[in-house]
Amino acid sequence: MARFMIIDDDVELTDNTAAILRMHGHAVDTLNTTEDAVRQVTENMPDLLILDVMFPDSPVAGFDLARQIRHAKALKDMPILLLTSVNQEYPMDFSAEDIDADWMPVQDFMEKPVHVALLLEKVDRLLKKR
Amino acid sequence: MVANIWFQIVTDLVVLSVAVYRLGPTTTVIGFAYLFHITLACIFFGRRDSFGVTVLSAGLFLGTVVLESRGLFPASHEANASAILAKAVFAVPAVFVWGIMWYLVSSLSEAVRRRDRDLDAANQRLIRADDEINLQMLRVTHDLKAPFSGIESNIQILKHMHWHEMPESVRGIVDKIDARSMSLRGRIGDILMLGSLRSASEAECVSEPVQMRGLLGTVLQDVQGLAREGNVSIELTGEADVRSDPRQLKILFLNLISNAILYSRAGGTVDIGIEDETAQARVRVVDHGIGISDKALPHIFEDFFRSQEAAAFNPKSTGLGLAIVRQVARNLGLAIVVESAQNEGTVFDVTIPKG
Repeated sequence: MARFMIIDDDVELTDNTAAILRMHGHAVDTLNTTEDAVRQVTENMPDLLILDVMFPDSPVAGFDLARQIRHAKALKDMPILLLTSVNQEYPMDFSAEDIDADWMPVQDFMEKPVHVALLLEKVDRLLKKR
Repeated sequence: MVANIWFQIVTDLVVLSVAVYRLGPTTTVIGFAYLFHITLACIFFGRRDSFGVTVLSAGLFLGTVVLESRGLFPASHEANASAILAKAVFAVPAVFVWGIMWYLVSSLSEAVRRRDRDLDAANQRLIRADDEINLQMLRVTHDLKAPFSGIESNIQILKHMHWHEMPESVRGIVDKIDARSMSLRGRIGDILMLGSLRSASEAECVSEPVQMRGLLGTVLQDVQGLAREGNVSIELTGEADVRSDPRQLKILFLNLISNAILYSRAGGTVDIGIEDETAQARVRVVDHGIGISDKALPHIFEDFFRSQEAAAFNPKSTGLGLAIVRQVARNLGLAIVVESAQNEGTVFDVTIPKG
């Protein structure tokens, strides 16, 4: 059993993804905003963070939060799985190949809609690596 | 820095004045050499500073005239002790002409500087507007696609957690909702893609070295699932290097090759050939599928166009794939030639310049 935290402004998606992970025996905390997220992640210390890219206040809030987490001493090794629905759109066009310690400091990347089998495969792989 | 410039200007004018005095301020036209300094000052300085240079020039010139008329210093020219009035007849109009020159040149320079500032401000507004449009497109893309993520995640919950509770008839409905949601999401994605490509400015089209075989290899990886589903095999031959925008090229060939697969019959083949020519590369995408009728051929690149045969063979098509191909070709200056025969197949021949 692992502990996850999901940070996504889409309440329905967050709740559904959390339900699927709980069904597989994991504990899940959810947040629908990046405000105060660093403090909450530090308090909960999840084994894996699932993070959306776009939030209502900023189209790159997810990237910014990932970078803040990397710079926080207690969280710098936290595995992060990035979720997005716009990455394949020209001209944004980023992918797992763009994972970078400075620009996109995450471990893996997943496009919405979240397919259960792929999500479980990715979280298993990231948890094993930790 | 400013003090240095003024020191240079004053020094230049004093040296010029000495030369003017020695050559004769009113017996030669050397005095008009001050105009060069006045003109340069109008071009490089604001009106106040250029007026200062004009007044200084006039003052020094008139000074040389007064010195000449009083015969105060020995000069190389024949000393002429004519009355100041006679000298003034020459000197004053000369200074008047300088004044007019200052006014005209400084006005022109000020107008050019104002135009530069206006153009710069307009350019900044355009850049901000462009950034705003890109941000808006990103938000629209997100806001249109996000609800489908919600629908599909609910379907995932039903399939993953409640499938066994549902009767067969309900499962069928859930599958239909899933299929419709994916289809609509794909359509919206195509519409947004076409919008982004159409609004892409020339500056956004990058030009970098592209290995066509490598690029087409990544496209084939993306379509391998589609090819497997349709039992279509794909063969890629040849190689060439070009200079173009790899992201837009990938979009173009993803659409052409996907179409070739979708409109092939089960067990069919799609051949992709790269030909390296001197000034260009040519990529031919050949399928042996349903082909396009002569009636439909002139319309295939239009938005949402689907021939009857295509719609019957592939009901899920959005009709935007070739419109996207056409837009990329326009953006990148590519030439596309299409040949087709009904029930025999279609050839798309794409020419990509190397320079």
